[in-house]
Amino acid sequence: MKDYDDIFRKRLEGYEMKLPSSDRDDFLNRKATRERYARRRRNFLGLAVGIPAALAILCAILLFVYLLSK
Amino acid sequence: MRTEQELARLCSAGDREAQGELYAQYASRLYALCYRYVADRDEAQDLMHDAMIKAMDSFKSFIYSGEGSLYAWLRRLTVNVVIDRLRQMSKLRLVPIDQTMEPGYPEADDDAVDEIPAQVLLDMVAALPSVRRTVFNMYCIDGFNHKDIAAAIGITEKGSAGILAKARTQLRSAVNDYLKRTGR
Repeated sequence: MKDYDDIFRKRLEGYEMKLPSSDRDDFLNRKATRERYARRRRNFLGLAVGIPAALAILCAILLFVYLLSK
Repeated sequence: MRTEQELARLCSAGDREAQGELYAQYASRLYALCYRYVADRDEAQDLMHDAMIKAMDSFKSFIYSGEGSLYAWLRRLTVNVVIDRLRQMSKLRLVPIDQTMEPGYPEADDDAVDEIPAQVLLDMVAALPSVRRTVFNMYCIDGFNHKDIAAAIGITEKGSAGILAKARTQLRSAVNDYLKRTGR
């Protein structure tokens, strides 16, 4: 089968198959959806870390001001 | 048309036009590659899209090493995407020896085999059971060795060699059937 292997490899290695005509649009839509999802995820993570951090800093400032006023 | 190196550099920088060119140049080849593994056009298209998106996101790991290295990188990445999907879908289960093997076929003439249209050869590969198809594709067409195959699909190296032998037998009988049917 060695020769058959070579034949299959030679013929199929870089073989191109015709894609459906809507393929490029499908791909671009999918890519855009993925990017939107990734952006949303990044934003969510940013908020999930950012809001508690901002609250912690605010609490620290308030505590500091309170202690100074005493 | 841009050179491979330039195309890779621009894609790595996130250039949309270059990404479009990359898609136009390689999509149909990668689609055929996916089809060889999954034997289903819709699934192959889906996998090709996944692989392209992954490639565009991970271009920074691509190192240009001469003409053809971009396709070699895309091909390896696509095979990995396909194998991951097949594993997730548990399609890489071992199958019992099937009924399609009939002993006693004469060896076909290599010249006659060489004249079989590529799409027919592709359909013969696609008709193999999932594990045989995967091993045959990885070993004979995409250049993996048995050690890599064993690690990728969770079998032993010896098992991989055994499955390959069965795939070859099945393909040989498919080729002979085709030649007999078409009177070559």
